[in-house]
Amino acid sequence: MLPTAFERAAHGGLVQARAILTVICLVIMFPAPSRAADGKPWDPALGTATISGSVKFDGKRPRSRAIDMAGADEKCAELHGGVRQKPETVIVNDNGTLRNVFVWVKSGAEGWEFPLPEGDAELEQVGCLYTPHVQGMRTGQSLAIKTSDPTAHNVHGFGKVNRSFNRSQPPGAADIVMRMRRDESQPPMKVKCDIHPWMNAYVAVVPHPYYAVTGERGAFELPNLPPGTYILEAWHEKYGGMEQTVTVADNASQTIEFTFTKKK
Amino acid sequence: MSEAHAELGFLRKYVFSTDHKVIGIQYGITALVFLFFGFCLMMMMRWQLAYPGEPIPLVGGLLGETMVDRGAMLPNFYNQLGAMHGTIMVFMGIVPLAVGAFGNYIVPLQIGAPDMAFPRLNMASYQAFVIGGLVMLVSFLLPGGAASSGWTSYAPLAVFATSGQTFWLLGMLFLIASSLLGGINFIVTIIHLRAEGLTFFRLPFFVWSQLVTAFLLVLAFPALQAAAILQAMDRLAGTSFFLPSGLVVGGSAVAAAGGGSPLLWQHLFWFLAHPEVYVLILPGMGIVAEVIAVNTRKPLWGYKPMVYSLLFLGFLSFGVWAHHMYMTGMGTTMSTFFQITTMIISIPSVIILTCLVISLWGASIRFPVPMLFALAFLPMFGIGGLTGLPLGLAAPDAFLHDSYYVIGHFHYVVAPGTIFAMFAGIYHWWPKATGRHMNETLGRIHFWFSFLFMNGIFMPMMFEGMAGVSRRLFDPTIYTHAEAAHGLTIMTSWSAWGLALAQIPFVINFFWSMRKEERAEENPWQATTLEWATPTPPPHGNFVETPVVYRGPYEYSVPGAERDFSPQFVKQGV
Amino acid sequence: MNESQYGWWLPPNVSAHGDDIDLMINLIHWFMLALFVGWSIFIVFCLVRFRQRPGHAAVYEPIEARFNRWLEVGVAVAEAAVLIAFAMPVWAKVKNEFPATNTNPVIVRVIGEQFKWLFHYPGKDGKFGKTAAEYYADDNPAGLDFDDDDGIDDITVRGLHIPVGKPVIARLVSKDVIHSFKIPVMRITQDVVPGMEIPIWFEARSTGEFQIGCAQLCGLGHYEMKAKLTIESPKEFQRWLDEEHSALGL
Repeated sequence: MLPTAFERAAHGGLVQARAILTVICLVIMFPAPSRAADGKPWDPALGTATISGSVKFDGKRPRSRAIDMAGADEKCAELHGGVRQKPETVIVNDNGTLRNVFVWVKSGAEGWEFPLPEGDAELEQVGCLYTPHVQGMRTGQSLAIKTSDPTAHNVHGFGKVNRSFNRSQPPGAADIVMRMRRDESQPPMKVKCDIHPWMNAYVAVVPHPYYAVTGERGAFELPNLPPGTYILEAWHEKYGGMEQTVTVADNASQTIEFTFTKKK
Repeated sequence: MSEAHAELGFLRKYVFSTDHKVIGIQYGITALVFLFFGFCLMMMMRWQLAYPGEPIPLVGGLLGETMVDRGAMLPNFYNQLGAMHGTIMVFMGIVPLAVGAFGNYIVPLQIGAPDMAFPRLNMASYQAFVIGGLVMLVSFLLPGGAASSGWTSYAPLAVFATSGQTFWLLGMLFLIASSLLGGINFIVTIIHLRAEGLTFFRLPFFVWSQLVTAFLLVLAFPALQAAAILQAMDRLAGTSFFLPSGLVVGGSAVAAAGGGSPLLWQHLFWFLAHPEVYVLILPGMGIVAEVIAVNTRKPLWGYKPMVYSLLFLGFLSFGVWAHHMYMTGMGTTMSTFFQITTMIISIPSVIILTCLVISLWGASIRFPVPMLFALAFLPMFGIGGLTGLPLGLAAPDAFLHDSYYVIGHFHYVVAPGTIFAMFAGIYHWWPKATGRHMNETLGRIHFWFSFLFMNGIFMPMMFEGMAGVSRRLFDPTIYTHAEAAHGLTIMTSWSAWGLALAQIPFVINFFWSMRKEERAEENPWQATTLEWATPTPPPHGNFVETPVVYRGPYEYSVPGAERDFSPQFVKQGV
Repeated sequence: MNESQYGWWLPPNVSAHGDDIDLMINLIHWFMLALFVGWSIFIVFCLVRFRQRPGHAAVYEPIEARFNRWLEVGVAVAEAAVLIAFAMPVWAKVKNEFPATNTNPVIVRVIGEQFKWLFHYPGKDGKFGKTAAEYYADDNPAGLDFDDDDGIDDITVRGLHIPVGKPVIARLVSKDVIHSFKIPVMRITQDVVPGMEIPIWFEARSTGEFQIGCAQLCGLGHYEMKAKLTIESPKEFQRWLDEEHSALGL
């Protein structure tokens, strides 16, 4: 039986609707990268300036309770010989500086296309703790998440710009390699182990190489900058971000200081 | 009574049909496929439970890296399998098979009607079922996987879950719509389309069970339909029906308005889900009653008490839901109320079971394959029902709640309970629907091995639950007391795989019997109910002449009668 | 933990009210067994005696209703007896009869989060510091307000220590989703519902090391959400408290 006029019309309408839907799906399936891919290729000869400094902490070292792993997962506690570890949220160094502060050039380094470093950024799970606690990596680079612990972990990345991920790693599991395609440093992405709630790390994904994390001396150094004016940000997971504008001349070096205080 | 129709094309006859028999078969085949799929999910889970961390044989290499690590199951995938196994078996397997397939096919025949009251609504309800089922299955392909918060989808966990949960909610909207449409259809059909002389107390027990089931569906499902929409709004629209204030997930505060209650979800869910379990069992009891009556050659003992028990059970089933919530922090007043209603509701179940058992007394029992399944139903349902007793009382439930004892309890009722009743129905009505007999030998092999393995699966679970092993654990050996019961887990797993193999004779029988040369008579079991008055298989419109009913449904071995059965539709002595 | 204590039936009971619960469980199972055996014997008897064979016909109306009525009444009476004599009193005791303050119960806050337990004891001052959701942080999983002096000496650990022979009151809260605090050897289970603080009490009567588990699906780490339970003598318990106190470095 030939289709009725109504059925033919409906069929035609369906074909059109399907075509429109297909186009829409194709479009939304390919997210645009978050920065223009066409910056000028970077010329290393231009990177002659350096900004360095330290991040100080003003005030009494805040109290924190050591992590009791034994009650929750004996295998974790055994990896530290039963000695309780301190949380890495706020570490004030002996010289009064703040550790694990992510310092980076927030603006001023646009317009360049920097080559990606070889290899992946690494996040290790050792002794039921993440190492490093805070790190930076390059947009387009991959993060290789490794485990050497005898107990199962579950890496949960809370991406606000990059896609969130939630992957299990039983003991001896292969590395989980996640490509970070978009900038995410305001704030850096939090990574957490779902199984061991005290395990946290932060990963900042940056489009240029001008970033550092303060260590035991609370110091940072950003070399190979082209001369100019920059806004630098120092970010701490508990105390947030703090900005400073710095102008640096050709072949020159500037030293700045950030000071965080315990929030009331 | 066949109406004159223009000859329908293939699509209108077999795909978009409004004939209750075609729809019944469509429901049956779709439900069996979904049951098989749900069973496969469990077989994978059973591997992980018996051999935690070992790569899954056969399929381990085929699964994605979010599901397995070098072939060994990952916890998130285990939770998905668990949630979807329950959902698929209950909503896409048993209810469509028991109500959609058997109800649709048999009820109009047993009441002497040419079709259901609303044939197109019937087709719509099947289509809604298929759409809902597909939405559920497709959710496995999402990046975050399928729903993984249990078939109970408790908030707040389900509100925070991945997009698979949204698909679950959407799928439920369709599945529930399907049941609501079907339920209305059954109620109107049974009340209005009975043949002349078919008073309510001459109805076969199967029809009564479908009537009560339809009322349960229509009155209880709206609560879950509404709750599913509320949860979808919590997930997508920023509401907080089920989210209290001050939640912190993964170290960050949850950006929700707050002020809601997780217990509200539980009340709405269980308000449906308790009547739902009676939806799962009642049609099965109906089928068992039919098969027992036919194969004992005497009336069912206590037909009237059984019917009254059905009605009482249906009514009471709306008053016991919070016995699933004893551990949520409810006070003793509420828990006393629900313990009392739960104890009372066991009485009609015991009455129905005991009447079926007493029906065997003074009988002349034949043992064709459907009768084997129907007989096995009795002790299996007995175990299932009895193990509900310690769970229905709050104090023992404190220990047994959410343990393997619960899994054993409800599976005994549904698996060697309802599913055996379904098999009994398939073997029993096969000659009417296809005009052929199923092979007896294959049927017996199917029965005995299924019976053996069903008990091999679920009896160890009772002991596991007593040993304190909780359910929904990806790797129970984490706990010392569960490690001690690991032998039981291994027993269960091997029985599950055995049960899968035991279905092979059935599948072979299914396809082979359909093509046999030798035809069955119109009433091969010499039964008395109306469905045996039609030609075999029944044509569109069912009956050649409008049937008239002269007596009750189980007039077997009537003193003074010529034969040992007096069909409802035969006016003897004229 | 002594693995050999566990088997295929109830785990050892180290709880004061556990005997009541075990009695109920066993009693009910004897009742269930009696019913099941009775039914089964009857069924098998019928299947043999009334099987179809030459010279044997079914009887249209074989027996009277009295037998069934006795059975039904018997079942109902037995269930009522279990309910009134056992279930209700035992449950009332477990839920309502909290230990009086003069019994000096140990009070501990039990915080459930994905996917580990946290136990919060008041310190030497016996007072809990103020806690609120806004204070939860990676280095402050108990949500203590560090400006509140009462909280400075609070002990937050991931394993539960309790003294034997003394009542314990646990206040259960959840940070994120529904969990369930279950200790099989203590015969207690209590759902931990976000938005509610649910108190339970229990008393251990023998020492040992056991496990606490989560008994309500709470996500992908649910199976791992365990904690160690240490039941020790009151002296050892006090020594443990002192050790934890000095570890705070106040």
